[in-house]
Amino acid sequence: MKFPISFILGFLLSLFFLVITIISFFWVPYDVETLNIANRLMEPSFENLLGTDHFGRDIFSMIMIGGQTSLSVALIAVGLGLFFGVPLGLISASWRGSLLDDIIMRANDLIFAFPSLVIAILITAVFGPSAFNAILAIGIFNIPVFARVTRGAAISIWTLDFISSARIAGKGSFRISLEHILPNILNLLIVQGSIQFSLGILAEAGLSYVGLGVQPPTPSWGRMLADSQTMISFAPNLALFPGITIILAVLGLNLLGDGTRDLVDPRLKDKIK
Amino acid sequence: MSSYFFSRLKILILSLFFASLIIFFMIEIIPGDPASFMLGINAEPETVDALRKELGLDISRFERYFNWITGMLIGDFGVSYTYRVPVSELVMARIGVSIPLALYAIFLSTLIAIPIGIFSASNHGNFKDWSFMGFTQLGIAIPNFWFAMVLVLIFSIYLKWFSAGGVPGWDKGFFINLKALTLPAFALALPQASILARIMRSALIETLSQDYFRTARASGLTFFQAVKKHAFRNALIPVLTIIGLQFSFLIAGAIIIENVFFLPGIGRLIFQGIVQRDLIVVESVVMLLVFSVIIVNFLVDMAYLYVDPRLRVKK
Amino acid sequence: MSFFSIKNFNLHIREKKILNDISFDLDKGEVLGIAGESGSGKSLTALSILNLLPNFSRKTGFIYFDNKCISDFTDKDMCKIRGKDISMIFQEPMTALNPLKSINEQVAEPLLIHSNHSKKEALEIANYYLEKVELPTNLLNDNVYPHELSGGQQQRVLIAKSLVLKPRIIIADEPTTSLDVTTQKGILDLLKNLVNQDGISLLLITHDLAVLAQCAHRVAIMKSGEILEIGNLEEIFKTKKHPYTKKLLNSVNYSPPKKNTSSKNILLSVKSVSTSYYNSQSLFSTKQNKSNILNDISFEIYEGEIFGVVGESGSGKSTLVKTILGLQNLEKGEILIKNKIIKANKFDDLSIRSMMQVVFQDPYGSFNPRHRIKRLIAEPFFLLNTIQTKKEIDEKVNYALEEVGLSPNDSYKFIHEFSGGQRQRIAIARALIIKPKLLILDEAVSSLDVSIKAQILDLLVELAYRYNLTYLFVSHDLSVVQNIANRVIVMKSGEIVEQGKAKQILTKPKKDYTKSLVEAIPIISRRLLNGGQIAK
Repeated sequence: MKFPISFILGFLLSLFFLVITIISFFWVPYDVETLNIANRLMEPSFENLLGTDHFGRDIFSMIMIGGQTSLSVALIAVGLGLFFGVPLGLISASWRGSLLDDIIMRANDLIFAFPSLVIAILITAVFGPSAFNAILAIGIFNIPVFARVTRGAAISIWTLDFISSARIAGKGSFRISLEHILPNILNLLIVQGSIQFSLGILAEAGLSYVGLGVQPPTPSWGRMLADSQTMISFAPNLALFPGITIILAVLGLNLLGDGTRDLVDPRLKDKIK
Repeated sequence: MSSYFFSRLKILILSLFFASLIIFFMIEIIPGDPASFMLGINAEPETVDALRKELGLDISRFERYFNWITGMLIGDFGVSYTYRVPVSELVMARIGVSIPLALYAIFLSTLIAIPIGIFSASNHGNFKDWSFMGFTQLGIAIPNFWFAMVLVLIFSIYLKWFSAGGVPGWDKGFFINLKALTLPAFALALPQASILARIMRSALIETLSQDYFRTARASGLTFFQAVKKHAFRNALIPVLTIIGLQFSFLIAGAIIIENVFFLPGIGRLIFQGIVQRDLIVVESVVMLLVFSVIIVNFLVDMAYLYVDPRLRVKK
Repeated sequence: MSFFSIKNFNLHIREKKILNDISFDLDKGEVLGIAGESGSGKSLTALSILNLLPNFSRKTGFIYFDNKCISDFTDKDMCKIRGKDISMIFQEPMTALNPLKSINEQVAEPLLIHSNHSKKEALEIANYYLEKVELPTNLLNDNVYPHELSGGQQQRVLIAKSLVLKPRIIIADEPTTSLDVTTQKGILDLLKNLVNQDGISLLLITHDLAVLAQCAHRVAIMKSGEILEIGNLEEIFKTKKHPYTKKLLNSVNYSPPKKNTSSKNILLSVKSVSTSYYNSQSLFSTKQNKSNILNDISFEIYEGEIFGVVGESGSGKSTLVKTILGLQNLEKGEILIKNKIIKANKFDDLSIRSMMQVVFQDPYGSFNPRHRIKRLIAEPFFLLNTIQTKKEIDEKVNYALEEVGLSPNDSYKFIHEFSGGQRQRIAIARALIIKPKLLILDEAVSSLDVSIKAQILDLLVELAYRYNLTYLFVSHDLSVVQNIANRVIVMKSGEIVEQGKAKQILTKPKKDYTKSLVEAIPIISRRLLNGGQIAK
């Protein structure tokens, strides 16, 4: 099997961030909780790969630990979206045209009118900011995304004759959804999952940046950017490195999603020119 | 008017109704007593009582919701607790920044995305397409607030072409404000443009493989004539959908970007509201944001009516 | 020398050879038919002439038009020829028209591209041609869009579009394949007359030899990218020199040995069944439309017979199949199998369900692509109350595979490893594995190439004899149905127009609609096939 370049690149990038995040649970080059003012704002060097921040903390170590927050928030949010969105989409598709389908789809449209940030604002206004807040806000927004993707794909499969065969064989919609529909849309869900994962990382960074997400002292990529903003004129590294980290992680996941799509759906559309 | 219009209108009204219920529930029901919530735990009982009266909390929840909705319909958004002025005044003062910023960003992203989409689709599969799509991948991955910081670093701090934030106000002239909004609008537009360009490209590639495109080519149109006359408008349908969906991301992005550039817009207002626990401001401004998203999607639905004759029902 | 000729033309797409040494001429006013089954390269021959080939194609050889070698032309030069001197009509009228533009605008388009007419003049000429292709007058206004037209009307619009500049050659690629048989006749007659009137040469590409027999002067038979033989229609059809030509001609109107062993026991009875379609009762829809799909349908099927249902698109025959299978609610009437009522969408009484099985039209959508053949064929066992051991299932699946002409080794493969004809065999194996009383064949051979179609029909008749099976054979194609069925009903707009013995319906139809249906069937006359002996 020949893998597309985007798949290989995306896989390697995603793997890299996954690995350094997992390592950070057991070991980081420097402790990020002790301040070392003497070493503050160091340029990148062999000792401090990406330099140090205004408290003398090692930026590379902070990025490693920050990955814990960013990746877990995004991952749980995707999980939330899958857990609620996929069943809703499957139900909608198997009862297509019914009142229930209508209600589910309209409720989805309604949630679409509440961007993650607005949900986060509402939750924060009442409960105060937290990582849980970020997960909830991003996760709720993921539900209609997965519900729509699932419903659309499932409907096109419901029209196929093998579903009629299964119904004639006496199988009910629940069984058909699990046995025939779900396996055939799994590819699509994996692709969408990786895209939502990357969007989740971006959204978490945005929420933490404006202070609606993870609270100090927990490091996160978005928080590191927020802290760096006032020092950008004399310490641009503080903003550049976490930013590039986010870009590479998001890029990796998007490439992985695109590559997976090319891998499982190799229809090459030749066009007339 | 067609039944399409009325069915969309019905959806619009129902969406607004349910959205308002959700917001009301979040802000006024979940905290229990909004007045003591706003004042904090250390507040004197008398002050809480006074605020309760001021906010009209002594009536039933149903009446409160009813008053809130009917108030908003006539432009009464309540009175801000911290500013002591009507919320509508606060909004009006800031909307002059937020709306131009959003429009400017949409304009820029469309201006960048459509030509790239067409160029890439017509070079489908070759190196030019490949490199442009690489750039859009990057564009999607860049957080817009970080991009805003980088723009400030380059254009304001090093090159000193633009100021690092703030707007002079519309009474100081049009172009000076436009210039002040350029960096924020560009930061907002980049990720949007990247997504839009990709959608434009794939929608065009899809239409290029359609039979009617082949028919057009077989009747003697050159490739670009056929794209212009047949493919483009058909590809526009999915692009319109995405522009509608993007609007909600744009709103979210604008709230953050306003913070980076210290722009006195709706986004700043809402954060001040949160920090000061001014629920009146948060409630009404969130409703306003959601309203704008729903309205924009309604307008997109109406734009389909213009583009697609299949939706126009004849008598 | 002819004004148009192709010489030694070869085509590769990526590394695959598509066309091999294609050569033919075309004379003024001549109708040349190109016949071949799917994958023969006939459509790509057409696209090669206009140089509208997919990306990654490589070609060698020459195409001459008017003493110019147009195969060397740049795209810009070709644009001056396309639509003006050589125009083209495609298979799917539904998708060949731009859904967003009015039809007269689309017909006028070649005029605006190739001539100096003003927009107003161009629209006038367009309307003149739309009238000429016999489009109903109420569709001759501005602002009529493709979705308001039927398939046949859309194809007329495309014919008008191909004619507006009085081209020298028209290439028609399967112009009637997606149309009903009565519509097909109208379109072919129209095309023939218009081409005749203006002395236009027509390159008619089709899989249907009977269509060619009615229109073409000369024919070329293509297979796997090569022209096997080319010559006068009569000569080719009479001599059948090439074995493949012979095979094709024998497959047309293929008539398997008919089964004649029906009893007097009623297996299925359909009693005044009506169904209607409501557009969904949704929260937000403003209107509710009701339209009748089936209207008071009654008939009986006897045990052991082959019962045919014929109808054009929209006749309600697929809805009929769904109601019999219990997949759709009835509004009135009832359906009984062996005197037991089939309840719609109720799957509690599996003994009723297990009496019938179905084979669908589309060999590609009929199987879950993620399951192996063994699991696919074994699915109907779900209907049996008796629990089967793994070994029993394996044995039965293997036996079923052998019975339809496949090997037990195939049971571990996936469906994408099989061709269309093989897939229909697998579908038959799946349907027969629980030994149903009634097998419903819903356009089961319609999407197959003629030679494969004949093989599947043979298999079906053979199995019917062996197990004394009862078939409900549904098709749009009267010629196939009358060859296999004992009795037939003819349906139109949800009603039964006529019913009776298959032979009687075909030779002595009573109703006008059946007559028009019978007359529209393109047939290759015996005179053409038997070298002058007139016999019918």
